[in-house]
Amino acid sequence: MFEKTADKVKRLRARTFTAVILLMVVGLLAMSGLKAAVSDVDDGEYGWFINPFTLEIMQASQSSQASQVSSGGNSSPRSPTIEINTSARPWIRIPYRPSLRSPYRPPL
Amino acid sequence: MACVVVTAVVGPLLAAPASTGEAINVVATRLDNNQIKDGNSQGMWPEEAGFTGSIVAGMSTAFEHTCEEDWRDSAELGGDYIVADGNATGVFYGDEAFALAELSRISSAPNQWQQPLADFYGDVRNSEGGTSGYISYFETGPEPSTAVFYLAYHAVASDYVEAVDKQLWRDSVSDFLARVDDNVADYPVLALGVAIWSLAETGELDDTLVDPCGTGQPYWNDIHLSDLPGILAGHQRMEEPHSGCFYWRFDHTDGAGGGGPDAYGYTEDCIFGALGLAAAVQNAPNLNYDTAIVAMKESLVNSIADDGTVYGHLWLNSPQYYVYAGEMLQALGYVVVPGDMDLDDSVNGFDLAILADNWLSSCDGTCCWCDGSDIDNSGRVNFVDFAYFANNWLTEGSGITWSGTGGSDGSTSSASYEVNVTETSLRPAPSWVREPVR
Repeated sequence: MFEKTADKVKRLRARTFTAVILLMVVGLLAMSGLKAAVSDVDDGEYGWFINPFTLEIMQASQSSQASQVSSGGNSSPRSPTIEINTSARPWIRIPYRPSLRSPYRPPL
Repeated sequence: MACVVVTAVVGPLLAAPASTGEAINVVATRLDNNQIKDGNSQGMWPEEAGFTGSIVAGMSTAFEHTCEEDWRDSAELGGDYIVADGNATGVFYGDEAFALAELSRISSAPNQWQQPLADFYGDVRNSEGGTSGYISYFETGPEPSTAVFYLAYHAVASDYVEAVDKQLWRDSVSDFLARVDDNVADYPVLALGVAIWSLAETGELDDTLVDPCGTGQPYWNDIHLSDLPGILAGHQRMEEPHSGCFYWRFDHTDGAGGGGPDAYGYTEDCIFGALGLAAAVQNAPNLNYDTAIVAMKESLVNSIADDGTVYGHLWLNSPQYYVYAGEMLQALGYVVVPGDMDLDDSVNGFDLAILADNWLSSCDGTCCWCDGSDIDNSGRVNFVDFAYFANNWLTEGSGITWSGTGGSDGSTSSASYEVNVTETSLRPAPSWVREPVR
């Protein structure tokens, strides 16, 4: 009896899992399509879309950057990029800033 | 099987090799390898006994994001040292208290770490002069920014164990921050960053004045807690070269009147600057520092040497200490994008596979929150976690939504000050990186 119940729970959980995964795939593909559609617009134009999972109205990442730019004055929004500097790490000259703090704990 | 299918379906969408994960791996591995494992000094790191707390907190963070058992063992060994030292002296450093709080989150025996912490804050309260008297020692002990550093950690740790005087500890952070300026403090910007992190972790960044009595430094006149993130953002370097990192002083000089490369790029300032901005965003999701935080994270990751060494300066040759590495781990763990479970700096199909693998599982910090898939740390992997995950779907380093609602409205905060004009804006990307030639 117990084993039967355990089997049922196991089967139910497996079915639930499969269903959830299918939902995830469909949802994510839909989101990918939406994001792709958003990114298809010309540079400088940005769009909104609804997150199907949270039902939030979201702004494309470019739009977020654009709104920052408009308020902050930077005229060339871009993603952070790291350029490799092939020069050697130069020697620090005069370290005005102390390297290491002195640990402190008052006595009790 | 399902995971394989999912991975195959979304295969074309997968991107970006690991970076934050690799950084955590090399830094934590080096710390683990260099920890003293036996003898009287067991648990500490060579010649850095007074910094064990920061390193243990970093190792705890590393475990929480990776489930690497060796790193939890290392953190617990360090925790044993902290507790033994605390028993001998009766007191903990602020970062040691925080380390015990972090350990209790990942340990299967949390009380082992929580109890000494709760006892400590109880003992301080019951001591002559009480908590206020204990805090007043910081007025004459260290320089003000060091005081802010340790009090900030105490505020978070006392809040974690629900100490009776936790509000006194929190108030002390802004009280001592008001004493910081370029003339009297060794690490002004670091103090501001760690103070924001602490204040945001323990309450609201509201309209409370930093210096309500007006007895602090003039820099803080009429400044509210809600102004602090904007001020911190104003100390991030905007100009090339080396844009993206933080100045170490409020006047943006090198401390000797010059504005050369010694004026910015110190690792600790960048670590706590990033922590401060990230904590501010989590506290007030209408703030938008996502790009600044990502830029800072990339800068930090790229400053780490191949062997996991973390230097005092991001690109200049400078001393290395294990404490920098511990603080680096704290920062990297704190700014991981929700949903980036494999730490490859991209929320993609690999993360979906991990989420699916842990679907409906129950977990806690001892199993690193189901490989990170229990994003809201609720103890169960469910649709709430999937919502967070979906919010950041295909995020690759920019445009991050750090919380369910954050960063989408482009809201800004601004403030003008005597020294700096600070206005939230898109931070330029760093165009520099250290070169590991030693």
